[in-house]
Amino acid sequence: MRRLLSIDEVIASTALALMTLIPLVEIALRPLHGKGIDNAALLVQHLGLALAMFGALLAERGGHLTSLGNGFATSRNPVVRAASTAFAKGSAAVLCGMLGSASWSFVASELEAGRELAYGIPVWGVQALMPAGFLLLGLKLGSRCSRYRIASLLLGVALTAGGFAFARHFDDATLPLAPLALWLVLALLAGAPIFAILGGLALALFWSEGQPLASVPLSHYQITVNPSLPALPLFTLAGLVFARSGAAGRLGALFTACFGGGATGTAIAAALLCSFFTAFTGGSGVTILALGGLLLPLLRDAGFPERKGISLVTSASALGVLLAPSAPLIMYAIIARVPINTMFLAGIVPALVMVAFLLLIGGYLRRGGIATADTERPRPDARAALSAAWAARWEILAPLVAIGSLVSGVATPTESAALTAAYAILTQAIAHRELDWALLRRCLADCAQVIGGVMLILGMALGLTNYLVDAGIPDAAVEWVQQALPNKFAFLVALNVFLFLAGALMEIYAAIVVLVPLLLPVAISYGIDPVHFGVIFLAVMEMGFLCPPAGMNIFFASAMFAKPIREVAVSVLPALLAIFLGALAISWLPWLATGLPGWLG
Amino acid sequence: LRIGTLAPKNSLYHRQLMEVGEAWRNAQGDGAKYVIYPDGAQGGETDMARRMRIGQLQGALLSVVGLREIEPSIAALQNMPLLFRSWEEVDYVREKMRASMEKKFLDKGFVVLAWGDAGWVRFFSKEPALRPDDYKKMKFFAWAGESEQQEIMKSLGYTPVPLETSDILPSIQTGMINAVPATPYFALASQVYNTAPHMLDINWAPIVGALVVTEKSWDEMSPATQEALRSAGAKAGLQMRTKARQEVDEAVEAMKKRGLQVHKPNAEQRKEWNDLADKLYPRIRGKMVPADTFDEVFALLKAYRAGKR
Ligand code: NA
Ligand code: NA
Repeated sequence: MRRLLSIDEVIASTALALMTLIPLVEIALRPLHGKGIDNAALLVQHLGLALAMFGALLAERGGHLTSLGNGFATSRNPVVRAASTAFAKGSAAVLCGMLGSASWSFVASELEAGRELAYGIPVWGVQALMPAGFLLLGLKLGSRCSRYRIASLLLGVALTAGGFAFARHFDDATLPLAPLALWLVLALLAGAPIFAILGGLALALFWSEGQPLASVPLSHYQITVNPSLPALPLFTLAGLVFARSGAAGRLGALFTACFGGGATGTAIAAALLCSFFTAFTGGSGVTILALGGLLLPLLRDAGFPERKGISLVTSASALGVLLAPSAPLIMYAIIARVPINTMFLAGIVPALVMVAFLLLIGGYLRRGGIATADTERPRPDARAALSAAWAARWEILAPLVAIGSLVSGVATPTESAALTAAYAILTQAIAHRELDWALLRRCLADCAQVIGGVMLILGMALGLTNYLVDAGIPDAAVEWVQQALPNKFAFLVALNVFLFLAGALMEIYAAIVVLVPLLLPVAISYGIDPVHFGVIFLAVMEMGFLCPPAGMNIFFASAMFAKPIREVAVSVLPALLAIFLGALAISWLPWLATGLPGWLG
Repeated sequence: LRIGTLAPKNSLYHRQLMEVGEAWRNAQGDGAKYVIYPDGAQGGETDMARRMRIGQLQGALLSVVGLREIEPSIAALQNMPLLFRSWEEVDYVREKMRASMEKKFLDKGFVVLAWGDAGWVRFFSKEPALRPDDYKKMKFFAWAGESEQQEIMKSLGYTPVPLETSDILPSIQTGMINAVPATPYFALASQVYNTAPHMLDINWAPIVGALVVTEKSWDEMSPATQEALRSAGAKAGLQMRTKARQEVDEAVEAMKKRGLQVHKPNAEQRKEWNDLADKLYPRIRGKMVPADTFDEVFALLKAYRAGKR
């Protein structure tokens, strides 16, 4: 069993390493036309599927599959606690069995198509990783129901197989929604992983309409092999490498030297640093893992109460979405058919505006509650800043590598992300000598873990949104909006509120993929520029990171700082208000977004 | 019936699909549900082929990109450059092959209701170009999924850059690619012509499409409904063919008004292009297009041209 367990790490890390290498080889070979790797883009995308499934297994092993909290599993009564855990994990195992069955139906339908990926590998061979991954996940989750070895093994097999058999038997049937939904709510409250609940809900909804269950894994497949998706793990890998080496410390020193070590300076430095990192990690919450340990002590030293510090790190980590080269920014540009470089330029000023709103309206600069530091804190210092900047030169140049390779036309988004990941690895390994094989291996495994968990949620969320599209719900909503809202300003306010709700309920990538094509035409009909719309969209989506049930940052902060989810969620409420007002300001003042690209372009 | 398509909402294609639906609903009677998913709401063309296979969609209006996922020999109608000189030739060959092609689709579990098209593929580039050699210094957009096509391009000295459709616009803006083979309709809708304002006026290849429904859903209909659906499909197909050709001309005019330059090759340049095509055919035969279908198309064209003369 133990040997089997480490196989998931090997597969996921190898997939990630290949995803970095193949695009680099493609860039290198492009001038010598005639050579190159067959179907490189498709290969890399399918490696993403391996990364997603085995990364998720790895995340399960590390206890990093996000759930909505531990629910009754934190009860003081040991019987309630054990029962709750068993119910949550057991339900998740059954759901994984169902998802495994649905995935198998999908793979079976693909067998007929007989497409080849490259080098003789059939596409269905890679797709088969989905049922395999779900069934293995089910086995592992189910085996957590008991502490006894034999019982846990039997339970793992029985629950997963039960789910599989149930879904297989009722594949073509129409089942009522209510009992399944009730079960899912209970499992959610008991602490079952989010992906299982989202996937289960998607299955239940398709079941209630008598539609094929394979639609859910198909959506999962569609999003994991999306051409722009490899940018997500690759930029995340770059962010993780910077986080694990001394880069965060060097950048921290730079920002502290620029703004001083007092309460105000530290708050500004923390907000900017979090945004900078999130630009690389794409808002997957990795920023909190990377910077939490560094920034929280700094903030505490500056006199911040712990809760306020956690709140600042958690909320500021949502802001970098508007800063290049954030993956959501790239994703919006591609979906909305807006030039990527325009989008990069458009995001800069609004990102700074959001930071200002967060600090000012979120109350992080207010003196209340901040203990006066007993020692003299360092003041801003130009000389120290210059030497800190020199020490952090490789890290400062990283955005230029990411943005430069894209804007100059050297690389596609995936290739640019691979280049940035390689740049991060090489500079930290060679220039700083802070990255050895063991640490690189850990970065790859951690990235696979984080991305695996995120991609599973993403795929299941897309299954859910596919149901919404399928049922014609967004279309009906858009028509209703056009009739109900008389003018642009009413539309903008409604848009902000709607996107806030969407951001809370959905993954940012699924929201971009599904909502942008639906809302953009409406926005244009109200005279809103697509670039401006994109900035509004992403600005409001930042709130979704801080809002349950799908608020990634809250889960990550809760895990990182070992605080209950509810406490973190309450602590970021002022930040939510600040970001909402910031998004409204950006909505009202289009030149914040369109000014810079217009001036430079 | 649930029908997917990449065609935009309220486009000619969407309107025709609605008319087919109207006819089907009337024949099917009360409670018949007919939903169209335009704008690629159910994913790209390969995704829609997949969604039909699992039974989520019962039909789709697809171009050859999606249709070849079902039956590879359909590539003969779209993937053979400079083979067809006019729509008359396309129509003739398609009509002759229709019965056998529809049979092949039926064997794969799909019923073809209508045949349509969406204009000729032309070359849009950043720099003006007229001869095949002019394009050798350019980087071409190529479908990421079609490795055979890339192999062929590389072997002739061209530089394909495999990308997804969504990458086209940013890639041409950043100079990652400098030439895009596309229909005028696509160039207009995607804004590619803004960055690549030079169009080579040759009929490189027609974009051919079809409305298909799954055999399973077809078998569930009464013979009368099937009949109504068939005739509505035939009518819609005719509309899609005649009107699409007109809309393509309008797209070129619209782009010309906004700065598109159309380059028409002279007789000598035209010959160079035909020579290139002659070099391409043996590489396409058996690779991108099954050999027997390839030969069939050639024989049909020869017969057509002989009969016309
Ligand atoms: Na974030
Ligand atoms: Na969210």
